[in-house]
Amino acid sequence: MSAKEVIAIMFACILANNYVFQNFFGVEAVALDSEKGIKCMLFNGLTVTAVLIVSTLITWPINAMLASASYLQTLVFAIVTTAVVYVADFVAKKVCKENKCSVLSIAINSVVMGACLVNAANGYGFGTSVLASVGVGLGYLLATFVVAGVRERVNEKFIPKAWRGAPILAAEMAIIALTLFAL
Amino acid sequence: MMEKDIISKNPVMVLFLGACPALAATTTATASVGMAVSVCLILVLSSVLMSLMRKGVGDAIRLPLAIVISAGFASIAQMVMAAYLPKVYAMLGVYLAIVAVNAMVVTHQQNTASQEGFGASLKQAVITGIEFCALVIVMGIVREILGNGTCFGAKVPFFANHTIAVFGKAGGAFIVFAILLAVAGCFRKEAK
Repeated sequence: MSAKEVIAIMFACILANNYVFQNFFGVEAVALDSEKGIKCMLFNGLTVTAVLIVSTLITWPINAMLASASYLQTLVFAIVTTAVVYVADFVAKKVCKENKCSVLSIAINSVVMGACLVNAANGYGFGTSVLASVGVGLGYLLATFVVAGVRERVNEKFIPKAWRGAPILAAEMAIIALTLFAL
Repeated sequence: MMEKDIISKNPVMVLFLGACPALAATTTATASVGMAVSVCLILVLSSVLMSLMRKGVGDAIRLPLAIVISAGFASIAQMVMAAYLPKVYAMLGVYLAIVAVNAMVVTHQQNTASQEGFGASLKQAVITGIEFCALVIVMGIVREILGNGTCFGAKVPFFANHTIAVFGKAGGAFIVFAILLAVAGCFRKEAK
């Protein structure tokens, strides 16, 4: 894989084809994470990236083996990603005992399973899948920080009653999605 | 009673839970109906199964069990749809599989189905499912009319010649979603 291809994949996954804003994967998790402090956002973003990479390392060969039993893909991918999240939770508890962020909530973060399924559906090779997973994870981290930043600025202003909470958050995401779509 | 519940307790409208399929599978009205019915059935069936098993399930394995149950039903939904509705299945793509880890389905199993009895859990799952269906189908119809100028494939006068392509894209999905949530917020007693 050439350097040009690596840059193209990373650019697509982090910005132009950000999985949160263009494919809606993990949109609920971004909405929840962006309310937390900067430490928690960074911790969750990096944990999601690590879980994504490990999940891809495991699901890619499994998917190749499941070629004749593709109906098992959803079930197997869900089990693998959940197991990886539990391992990540165990490691996080051992390494960072003061951590208050919930790692287990990543199990229901659709960006992890979504990235694995998209890699399989697009027929990416092993290297491309791992690289795309790194890009998707960093894209998720970027999305959390961008939403948190916009949210903080918007919440300083007056928001009409009907638009408070989820509606204004969706409107913020719409503007960010349109901006990234233009890239 | 039902209308109030749809607006004030809808997990998608209030907490953004399960927003991924609501946004992704609404480019056309047909796809939105397919996704809405699938999610509703997976939610109800997984809640029923979880409520039946609740006495033998400890706190530690509740989350993985909920994910495995919903993944099982999502796989069944994929197989049924691929066999009988291949066009809708192709429209939904990987988003039908993603229902396996849908936050709305899994948290409902964890919070309601594993705590309450069979009847209460079933009732709550049906109400939540209908709420989700209503939101997703309305979104699908609005996006198809504005983005394609059609409704369930049939041309809509005026809109057929005045399409706004952005409503077929991700940005348009967020715009329609935001407006629907704001309209619902007008009817809510106390917007949070």
